[in-house]
Amino acid sequence: MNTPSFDPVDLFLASVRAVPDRPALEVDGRAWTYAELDELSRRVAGWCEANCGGVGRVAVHGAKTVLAYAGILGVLRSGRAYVPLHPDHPAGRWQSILQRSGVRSVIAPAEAQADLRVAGAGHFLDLESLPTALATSTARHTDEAYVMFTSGSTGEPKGVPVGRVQLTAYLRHVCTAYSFTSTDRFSQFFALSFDLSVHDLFVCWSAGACLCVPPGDGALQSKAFIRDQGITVWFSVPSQAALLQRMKALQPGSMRLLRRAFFCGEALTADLARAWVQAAPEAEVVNLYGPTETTIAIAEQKVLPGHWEVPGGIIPLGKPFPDHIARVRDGNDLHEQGEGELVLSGPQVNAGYIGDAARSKAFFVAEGRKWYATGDRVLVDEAGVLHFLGRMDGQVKLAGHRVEPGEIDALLGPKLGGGRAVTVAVQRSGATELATFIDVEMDPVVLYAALREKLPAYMLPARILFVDRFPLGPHGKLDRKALIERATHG
Amino acid sequence: MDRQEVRKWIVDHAGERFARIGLHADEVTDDLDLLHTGVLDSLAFVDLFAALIDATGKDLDLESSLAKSGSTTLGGLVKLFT
Repeated sequence: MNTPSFDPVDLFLASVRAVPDRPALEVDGRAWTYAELDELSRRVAGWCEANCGGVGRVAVHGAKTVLAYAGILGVLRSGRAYVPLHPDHPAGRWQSILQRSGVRSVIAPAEAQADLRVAGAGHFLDLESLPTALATSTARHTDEAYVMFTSGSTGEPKGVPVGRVQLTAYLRHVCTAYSFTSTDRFSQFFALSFDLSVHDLFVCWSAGACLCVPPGDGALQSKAFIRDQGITVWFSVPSQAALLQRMKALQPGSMRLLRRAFFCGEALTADLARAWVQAAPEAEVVNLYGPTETTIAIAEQKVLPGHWEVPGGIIPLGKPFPDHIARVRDGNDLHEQGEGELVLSGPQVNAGYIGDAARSKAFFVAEGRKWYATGDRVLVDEAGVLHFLGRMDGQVKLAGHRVEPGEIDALLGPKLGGGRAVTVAVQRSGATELATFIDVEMDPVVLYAALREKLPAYMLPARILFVDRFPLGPHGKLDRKALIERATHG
Repeated sequence: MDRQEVRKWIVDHAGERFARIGLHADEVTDDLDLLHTGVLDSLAFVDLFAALIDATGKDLDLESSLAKSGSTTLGGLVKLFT
């Protein structure tokens, strides 16, 4: 008997053979069968073959149309890696991503192409120009599967290339640890530029199931979406569940069709998990954890109804996937238990950052293994379960997105005429938001305009506040706590 | 509250967030979409909606209200709550 392949394209093709006439994708009010998506993606792969030569990366504009989904599949089928571009991000961010990833070819709807051309793109594919010729080559032009860009503290986004082998390792675990069927209907809330979307697509397609893309205000109308679309497998950041809770939409028993729910990207509180379990009593709820650098998620914790007394009121991050090792780092020492920075090793750990692989301190070798230092402060208990305690640095999660406040400060610095910007995260009304302090009096409208050229909306601080002088602590260092206090209560 | 009062309440409430999209509060027009332009994120919009329910005493369901065209614009919200 052949060992099944968990390569993302092989998983999709196995479903094409098994259930060609079942829906693979529902988007924009239309269903696309596996056979139809197979043909579209082969045509995309054919275009890549004809136009991209030996170049290993192709960008995909992330507007959620059939073109983007066929584009991702097609790029992978052509033996290349895709670089997703969020449709709402400014051209300045696209430009930075295209430059840093060395990409000029973009799969994008016609209406987005003028802005993309300004950002540096040179070749385009849209549905109208899709060739009829199907791909014939099986050559691999790169070991990468995709490149995701996250916030970088230097003022530029940071590119994380994720390998095909690493993605295959992830899919091997998730597709065998959890059972899915071709009658399942998966939610697809994540932006295609968020690596958790990769789970949505390929875990769904591994089962011959249907990927359901919510229309319009996906987050705000997700309860109606579950009901109307008959969603059976949910995946979102906890913030989206918190939004439903805030809308009083998590009434007990209100989501009985759900049979699995995955959460990832930020801390899942026990209170929220309990409300979710009551609303979806038939669903197995799983808390996933993992940085982009270690491929989507690398640890898991099944939520056990009734076990709500957890440290800090936060559901544990759980145990690492099989074949992976977690340690806490204390200086140069790695420990199996205790508190400290979480470091991870195993087949899902990637090679480094674009243009920074050799210099990055986050990737290191010890005990004969390669490790990734997450920057997350954890407790590893006697059972080997990881508990999230906070961050080692100032990185913030906003609705699951990593934000380095230093990126905002680096962009504002040159606009302040010798002044300085300091961004802090504050809790207001139970949510995390950013507040930026500046020590020169300037119209925030002008500063926001500068930020909007480079940053996505979620990275814009909620407020820009003026201070005469930055508060200092007893040793003359910036007193961030005082700024947080002022932003919270001032 | 009458129409003008609800409008002023919303503009005051969103206040400093208009700067995010390059507007001062006195430049805001009724067709401004508070959600899709990025003035408010989803959570802030839900909070605004809940605060409007408290302020006006008009108990509306957010999900069904959102299904109405233009309900996330300033003018649309004013119409819903007057």
